[in-house]
Amino acid sequence: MKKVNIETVLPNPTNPRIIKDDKFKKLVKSIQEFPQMLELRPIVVDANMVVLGGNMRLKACKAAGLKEVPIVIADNLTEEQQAEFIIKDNVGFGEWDWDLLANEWDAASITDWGLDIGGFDLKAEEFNEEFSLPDGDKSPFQQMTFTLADEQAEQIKNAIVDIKATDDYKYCETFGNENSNGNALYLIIMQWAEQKK
Amino acid sequence: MGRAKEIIVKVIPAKIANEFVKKHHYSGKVVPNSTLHFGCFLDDKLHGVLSYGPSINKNGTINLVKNTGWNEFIELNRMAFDDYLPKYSESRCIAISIRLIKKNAPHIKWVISFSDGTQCGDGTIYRASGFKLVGIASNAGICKINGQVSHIKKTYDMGLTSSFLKKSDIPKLKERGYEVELLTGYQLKYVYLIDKGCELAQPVIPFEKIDELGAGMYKGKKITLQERRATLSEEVDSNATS
Repeated sequence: MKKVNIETVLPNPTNPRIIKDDKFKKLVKSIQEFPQMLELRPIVVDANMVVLGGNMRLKACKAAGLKEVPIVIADNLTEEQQAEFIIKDNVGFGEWDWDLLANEWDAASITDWGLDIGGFDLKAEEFNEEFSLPDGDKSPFQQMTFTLADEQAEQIKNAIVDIKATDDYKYCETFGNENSNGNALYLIIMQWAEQKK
Repeated sequence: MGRAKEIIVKVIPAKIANEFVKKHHYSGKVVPNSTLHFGCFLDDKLHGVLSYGPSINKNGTINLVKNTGWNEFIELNRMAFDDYLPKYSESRCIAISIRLIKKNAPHIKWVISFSDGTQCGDGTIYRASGFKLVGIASNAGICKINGQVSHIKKTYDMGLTSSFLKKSDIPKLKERGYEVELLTGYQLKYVYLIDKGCELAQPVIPFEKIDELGAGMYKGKKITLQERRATLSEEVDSNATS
């Protein structure tokens, strides 16, 4: 490992990894707060000083204002091995043990260090514990919903208007229902049922 | 119990709950008749949601427990958690939500919930939370319509069938260009009696029956309770039977 001028290290134009704004900011912050980590995990470059591992870190180091970066030169790799290294260096083979993270690690710190612990950014204090639910008996009334073609709806509306103008409607059994359209529709159906007999 | 005991459960608006459920529930869908939503918070973040509401088929459900009034039961119809919540969080959140129901709606005597043994699980969390198993039925409630997983009510809502989808409707729908199938597997029905004086109208089914019928499923994989006992922590199931 050696330290070199940051301008001599070249980003890899075929690097398939990207980093988004928020995570990039966290990486920059992480480098500023813990620069020793770079020495423990230097940027890996080929013989031409092109980055094989650490493109994001190089970008973040520049953003953090570093003039020098620690590197390791991997000049003994074949082209195939270099390609393999670029991918393998970024593959996370393991998985997080979320139960352990939640129980043994400090959520604020690990989030600050760049690990996304999921969840929605909402605090429990913003909400309360009170609510109410309907009680009592079932209502003796119910609503029914139908899908009708415009022409069908028009016919039904006309029939309701017509039946409301009759004497039969005045004396229709309502069962306590005060919805006039419901009562009219009921009467239409009853008259239809009577005719069917 | 670890940090599960630090979880705070509060009532949250449907908009937030639905967004969370869509993101984290295996179905990716919300239940439209959910009316009460609890959010589960840990480390200043929302990591879980429990949604309750009236059962779609209230008439068919009310008789599960003797002498139940029309508004005296509620359905836990969605439960979604992200990876971060530690072990035992689900049963802890259920327990708190039931405590809050008891406090705010003391007329609610029992809770019903279903586990989907066609795609998700056989109800490990319910058993761990003290629910009683009251039904194991071959799936007749979940279907696929042109590749989309839906409740059988969907064909009725779409105007394709005169009532909820039945097996006999499938060939006719196929003729009309709809690829419809009922998913294979089981649906399990669980009841939690908040009012311990309530009496179930039918016998409680022993959990062993799940294996007898081949209805075992855990995290979407078919597996018996017995196999699970051998491979996973058995604390959950032993809690349930105690």
